[in-house]
Amino acid sequence: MPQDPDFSKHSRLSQHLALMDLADTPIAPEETADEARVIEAMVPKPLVLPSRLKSRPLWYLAPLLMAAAGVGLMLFQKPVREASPWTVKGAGHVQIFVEQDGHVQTLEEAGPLTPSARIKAEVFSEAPAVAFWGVSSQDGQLLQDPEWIAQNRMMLERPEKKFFTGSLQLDGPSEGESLCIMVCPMDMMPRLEDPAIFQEIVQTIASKALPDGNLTGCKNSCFQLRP
Amino acid sequence: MNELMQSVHEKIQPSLQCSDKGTIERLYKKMAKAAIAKAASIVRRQDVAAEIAHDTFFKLWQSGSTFPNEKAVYVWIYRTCHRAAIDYLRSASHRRESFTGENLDEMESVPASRYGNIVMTRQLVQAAIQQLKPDEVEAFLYVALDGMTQNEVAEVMELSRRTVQRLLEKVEIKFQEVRRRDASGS
Repeated sequence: MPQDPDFSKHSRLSQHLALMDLADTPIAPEETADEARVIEAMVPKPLVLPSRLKSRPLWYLAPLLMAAAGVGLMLFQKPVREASPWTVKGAGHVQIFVEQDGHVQTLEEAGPLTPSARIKAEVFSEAPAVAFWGVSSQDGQLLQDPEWIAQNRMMLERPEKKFFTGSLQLDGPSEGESLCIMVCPMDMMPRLEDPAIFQEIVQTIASKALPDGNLTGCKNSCFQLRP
Repeated sequence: MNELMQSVHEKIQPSLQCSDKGTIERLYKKMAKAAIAKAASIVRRQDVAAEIAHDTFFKLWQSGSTFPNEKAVYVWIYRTCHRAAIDYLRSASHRRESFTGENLDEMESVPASRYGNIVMTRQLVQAAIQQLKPDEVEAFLYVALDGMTQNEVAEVMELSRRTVQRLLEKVEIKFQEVRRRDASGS
């Protein structure tokens, strides 16, 4: 964390600091006038912060349980000839947040979703990965255009936790929607560009299925949004 | 340190605890517009920039970090928005999107810099994302778009000035290579 850097008068950052009265040396208003105009035109979203999850004693057992599960798997599972990096790392989880009535909660906490509810998804990956998200109905119909799924995929370039850009909103009567998030190792990316394989991604998300065939190594996590 | 000295020390160096909701809300009120302007200077879309800024404050709150002062907080926000905006465009570039959408014409100009005359802003950002490694893009855009000196980049990226210089030299070599390829292709 930079402690107290000394910035030049000309950079955008220096100007921002000056405009917020945070600069050590003030800058003449005429020098920051252009940037001030740009900043003034920006419209922030209302800030919504979720209620923090209460810590439960069981969480402290999670690493032990994970380790025990890992040992169990190693002992009782048949050896896999070619494990993908994703499988080896056993990495990744997703978390769904719902913003409704001015509060942000996890999907589990949120209760029934109102029509105005905005849904955001966060993916955590321990290895570089690409993530897709989409909503399907109870009878396995994809509720978005496949092009939307292609355009809204998210790259996780390094081990990191990231939100998909934007949010989803459900309107109209319930169709028993589920949100599915498919995460694939980044090294599969060239293959995923293939339209036929992308079609498999779309199908897997729509049918809430386990990835197999060309998509072996990916993970598909589905969450029921409305009954 | 005796109690009196400790109390004086705390008065001299107050800290900002970002796990506190009230603190984050106050900082958001004060800094959100500037953070959006920063992100928009790269992504060129105000809706996406607003989303990036919101997510950045959310991350700040989640991290629960402590900062010595508001200036240090804003430097963190600035860098996080910068990187998130680059990540967004890298994803956009993967899906072969062009930079369409809500243009921010007032931010078209590139600050005078040694890179300013190579290409226009959008092409500059696209070229950087396509040709450079993540830390090279980050450093390069601080210089090319934000007009930072190498010392400033070093402060923000928490690197030595020498490392920043090396990163920018690599950038220069890669762009020279691109220009050479373009010239021989045309």
